[in-house]
Amino acid sequence: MGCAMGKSLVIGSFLLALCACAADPPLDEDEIRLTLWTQDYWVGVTGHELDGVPLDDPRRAQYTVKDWYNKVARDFKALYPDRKIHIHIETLDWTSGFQKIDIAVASGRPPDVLISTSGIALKYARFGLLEAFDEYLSDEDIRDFGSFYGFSEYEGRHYFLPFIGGNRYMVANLEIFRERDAVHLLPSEGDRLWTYDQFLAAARATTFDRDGRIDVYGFAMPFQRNSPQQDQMPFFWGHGARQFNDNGDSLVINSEMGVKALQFMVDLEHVHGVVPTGSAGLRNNDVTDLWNAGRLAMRQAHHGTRRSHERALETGVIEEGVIELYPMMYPSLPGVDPGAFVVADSPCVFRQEDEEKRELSIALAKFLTNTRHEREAAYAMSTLPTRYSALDVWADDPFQQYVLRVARYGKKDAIQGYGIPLVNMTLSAFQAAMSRQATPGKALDDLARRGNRFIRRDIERRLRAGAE
Amino acid sequence: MLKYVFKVILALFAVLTLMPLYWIVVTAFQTPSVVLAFPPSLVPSPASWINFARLFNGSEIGTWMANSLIVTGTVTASNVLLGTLAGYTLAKKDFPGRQTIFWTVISLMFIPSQLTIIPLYALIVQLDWINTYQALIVPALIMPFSIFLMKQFLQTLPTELIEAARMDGCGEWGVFQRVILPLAKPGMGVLAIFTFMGVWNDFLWPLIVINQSSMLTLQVGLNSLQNQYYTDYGLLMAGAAVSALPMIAFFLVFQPYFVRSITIGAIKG
Amino acid sequence: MSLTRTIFKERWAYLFLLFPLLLFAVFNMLPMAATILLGFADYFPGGQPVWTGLENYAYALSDDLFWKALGITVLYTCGVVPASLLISLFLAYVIFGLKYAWAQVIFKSAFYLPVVTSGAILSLVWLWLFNPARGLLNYVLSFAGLGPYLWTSDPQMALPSLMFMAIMGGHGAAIVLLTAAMGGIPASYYEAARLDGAGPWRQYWKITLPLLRPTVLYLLVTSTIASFQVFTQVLMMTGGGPDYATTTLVYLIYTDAFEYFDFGKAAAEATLLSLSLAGIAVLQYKWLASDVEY
Repeated sequence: MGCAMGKSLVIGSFLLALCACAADPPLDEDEIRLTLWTQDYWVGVTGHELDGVPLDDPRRAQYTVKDWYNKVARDFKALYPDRKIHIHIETLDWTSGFQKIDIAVASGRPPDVLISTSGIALKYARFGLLEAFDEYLSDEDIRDFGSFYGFSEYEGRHYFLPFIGGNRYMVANLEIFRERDAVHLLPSEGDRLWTYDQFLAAARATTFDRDGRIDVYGFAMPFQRNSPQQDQMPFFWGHGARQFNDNGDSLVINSEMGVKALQFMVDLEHVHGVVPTGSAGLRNNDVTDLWNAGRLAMRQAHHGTRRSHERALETGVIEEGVIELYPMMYPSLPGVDPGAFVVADSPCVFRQEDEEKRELSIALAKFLTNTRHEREAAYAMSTLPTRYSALDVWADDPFQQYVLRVARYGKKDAIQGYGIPLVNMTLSAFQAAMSRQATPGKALDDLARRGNRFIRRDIERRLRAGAE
Repeated sequence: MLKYVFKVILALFAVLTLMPLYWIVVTAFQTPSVVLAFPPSLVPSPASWINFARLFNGSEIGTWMANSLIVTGTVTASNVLLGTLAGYTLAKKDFPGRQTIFWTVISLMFIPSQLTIIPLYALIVQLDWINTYQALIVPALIMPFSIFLMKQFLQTLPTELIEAARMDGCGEWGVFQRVILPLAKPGMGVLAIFTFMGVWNDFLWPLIVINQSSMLTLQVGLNSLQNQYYTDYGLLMAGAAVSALPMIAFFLVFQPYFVRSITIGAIKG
Repeated sequence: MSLTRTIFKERWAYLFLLFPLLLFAVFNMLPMAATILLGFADYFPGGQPVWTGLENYAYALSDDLFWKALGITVLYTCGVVPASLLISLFLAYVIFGLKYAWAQVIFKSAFYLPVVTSGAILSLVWLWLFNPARGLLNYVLSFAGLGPYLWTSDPQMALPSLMFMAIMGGHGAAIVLLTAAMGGIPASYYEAARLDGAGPWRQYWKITLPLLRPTVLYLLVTSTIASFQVFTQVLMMTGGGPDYATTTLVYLIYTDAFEYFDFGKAAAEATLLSLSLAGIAVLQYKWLASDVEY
């Protein structure tokens, strides 16, 4: 008898499992479903700030990214009262979010609209997976986007709409410079440009043993799990070197000046000792941890640095009185303009079979990037507006005014189609030099050889795919 | 004498092994700015619940925990049951194709999941299972290592026991239920713990098949609380501590099963 | 007896295996077959695969990084698997010999607890332990006048650091399994051996170890697979660096697939990895599997 009971239990549980699988939600035939995936751009806001605040309140800067997108989706649907549109919004975190997009794309199931970094968009454009926007924009729109629109170009067509503008520059912690009586070493005129010698003097003055524990460092730069275009390339551009040729299909980073630039970074650690030892294994988080603890005098900064600084103060990650921000540009050789990473994280639209879905997806991308939304997003996320018509959002804010002004040092070299795929390779070469496994010259030669071999194969593969 | 040396080594090893876990707990109870202090402080001073407060106020952690429990519970129960059945069959029954089936099961573990996840994801989309429990549960209902583990565990059971039961007139199911199940308990306990642990901590799969916050599992949900610009160690470790609790409870509940029971079988044999 | 009659006679065996095999066929074998086939094709997301024969294999095998990654993976496995197994066997033996049940539970828990933390969190913790400037390891070593060491930031030390972490961290599961299996050995065996005048060491060697063989085989095979496929720690802690020093096979496969979108090459490498694992597993099986019974 016991046997029979056990048997029916097993069979019953299988049947139950099968039933659970069979239940499907009913589908509405007329409904048009759009999926919108976006990186999570807000800085650690929890969502409870929203309670009791009307949607038009300027304090909207406190909302989560999803609240804002929900509002945009509602407004968008209101433009098409005769159609049933369902917009599914999903936010992607910054570590595993990329894996999620890649797997979805690789298995042929990408979202309809994706808001991610320019590099990611160009990576998919390279595979011909995106719709181009060229036919859908008015001249007025193109003028309004200005130079940001040029960043979205790949082989003559434009694959994303500039939305969340961002850039890189440097920032000093004035508290440390005051402690060392070295504020005068920082650049203060105009765009705050300076030379490598001046930079080195500032870094030397602020590297010291404060309390017998960990040293305070003048500068620190991550060489692991970071973006070489954001972190290291500014030193190459400041030397007049570059990563890619004009077409973006060949690595030229192993030029004479390129080697000098990498040698400069190696010397920062091994000759001057103004950066933490073991840079080759340093991650962005390590640099931030040092900075937040008030033990780093200068570092790389971005459009949202001030906002995330305020956020860190609120949550207690940074204590009061430890850090005062002072923005400035990267150093460069005399006579050479500094260069910086400037991007516009942007909606792109994945290729659509269905005419109506294509039209709506592109309309949604355009709607997201209109002047009003540019202004709102820039204000809420502390980013750069990517339309001239929205520039006034930072009119009363000298810090963000400076950030906006130095965006003109942006380099197209920073966002080439092959930039993202070569990240790992490039970092490995830098690491080899930083840990003195290879001289800068050898490391960069190896990188160029390996990278160009990959690019050749990639081009062959794409030609073959095009021929099929 | 040697015995005491062994015991000292054991204790030392235990302390070393527990070190990372200890740091997780300490960090969870520390205010955010103390986390980065040097030299590392081994006691949270001042101890603070702030990270847990942030964790529970700002998120749907209750829902995520419930989702994780549903998924992990179902998968664990199913793996223990199916794994024991199949493991017993492969260990103790002689039938054409036994070796082939065994090696097929083993070989499923060889290919790295980082790649098979792509076609698997396409399959789940095809089945329209995105954002459902079945996407999390069904592919994991039985895993190769469960069968392998139970097969290895049951292999040493005396065959005479099975034959004796058959002599007593028990059918195949009866043999399994009356003889094998009681003897397999320690193995099943171990398997339950392994499966629970693996599924509970699984990250990549739930990340890609779930697209809405209310369906997230705990690990993915906790990860979504991190921000773009810096690691919030306090929040992270408070989350890790909370997510470890069910597993610790599960372990303590199931661990008595490993110890007893087999002796009973041995007397009978 | 004809084959059909044998099959019919053993129909229960097939019935017991039916449901697992069906699930495997759909959710394991199908994706696995797709992956293996992809190794003979060039696939662009959104397009149709183009058959290219052995081209991916030729490309993978001519890539010096593939051989480097293979070497690193083999080194990692050879270092981690035997060391972990020996340590687990030793610890399980000592724990099992403890007189009081509560003491056994405490130690089993102590070793098991760290395993309940996810690999991603453990990686973060170890990054902090390894941190050259403010990590615990350098802090402790400084009292002995040693260091500071760069650990994962040094190309020479990065792989040994990861191995050290694996050897220190992962015994919980093995100990739980081994003690459970040791509990299954009938006490009468040991009594008989004692009567024959066998000491504890001889008892362990002649009774415990042989009867643990199936369990040890399981541990050996699964930990070899896990080590050969080590990934999370590499992704979280070193990103395969510095200077490729920790680029393991699965990490290489991962970057080929998701950074270079070269799924064909990644699939070819994954197939080669699987074949090596199959070879190793067969050897391990031949070495340890005699169907031991009481």
